Amino acid sequence: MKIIKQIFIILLFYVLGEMAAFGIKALFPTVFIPGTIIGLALMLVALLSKKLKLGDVDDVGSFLTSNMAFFFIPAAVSVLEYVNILKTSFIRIIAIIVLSIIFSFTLVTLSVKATIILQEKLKKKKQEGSDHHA
Amino acid sequence: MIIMREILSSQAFGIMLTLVFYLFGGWLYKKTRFPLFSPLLVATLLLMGYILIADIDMAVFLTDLSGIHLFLGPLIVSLAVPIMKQIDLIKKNILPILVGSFVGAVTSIIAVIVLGRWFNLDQAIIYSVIPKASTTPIAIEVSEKIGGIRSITVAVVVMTAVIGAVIIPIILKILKIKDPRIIGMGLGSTSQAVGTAKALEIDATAGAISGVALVFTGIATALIALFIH
Repeated sequence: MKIIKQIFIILLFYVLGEMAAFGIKALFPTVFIPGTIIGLALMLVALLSKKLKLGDVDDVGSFLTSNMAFFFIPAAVSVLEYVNILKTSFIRIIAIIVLSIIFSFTLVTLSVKATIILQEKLKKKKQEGSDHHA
Repeated sequence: MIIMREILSSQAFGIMLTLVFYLFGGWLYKKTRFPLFSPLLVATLLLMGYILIADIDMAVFLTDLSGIHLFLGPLIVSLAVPIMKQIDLIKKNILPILVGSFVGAVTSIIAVIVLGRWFNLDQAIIYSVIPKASTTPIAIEVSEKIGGIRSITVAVVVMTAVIGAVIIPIILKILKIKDPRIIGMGLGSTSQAVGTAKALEIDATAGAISGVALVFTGIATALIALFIH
């Protein structure tokens, strides 16, 4: 029963998210936030505000997220359907994907590291400042 | 004979085959520790081989697997669980996460435009590849809005995610990067959900940060796309 309840709660947030996305799209056609992201945000808000206990979604949520890669297999296999459309540019697209991932990863790493260092420096300064006052 | 064929073309058989190939991929990776043998990649390639060699109807086979595919939506929602478990750490690092997500989205778009022109790709294909760093639903919307082709975008997003989840761990190993925040940001902002799956495998903190990065990188891509014409 516990697992059934957890599946229900997760599906509930998923459906709520999709409904919200549908509503947003009807009201503001230029904005596009996927229903899954809204569902994720809603569940996070429910958890943070303690309306929902972590224990109410933990088993199923952890099962799904710790085996995530498995659920992507059908989507990955379906790439085969598009190989024909891509044919002449397939190799070039793969090259672009690989190069851009390396490029992005390098700059993300550098910017994150820089921000972390900056943040720590600011914190230290703040601390020193408050120490001085004390 | 007919019964045999019926069993082989049943939905249960398709799902069982997927499970077996995935388990085999996991076993292979455990034995060899060779990063190209990710269970997802191994299972995908084996299934593709099976479809081609056994001459299976692609559309029918994918419908058989729709039972697995069904979980993708609830799965993204469930990311709230690992995120919640690391919420203090995420709050503390929200600034680096926001910066990294934005940088991830911008650099991916710039790289695609520059490389696409350099490689002489069709304009429509370049537009289809531009949103590749974001999750599929966002990528589709962005692609259609700027003039890309939906099906190419879907294929490219999946390929990006799978390729990223394979090559980034190699880079991490070479550069000896151990900080879970950087591991999570690197995977989440370049290879979204599949990257997050990999990050969760490496470290719980990295996984949670990757989950947040996936959300913000998607949103950043959508925002930047408003300025592309």
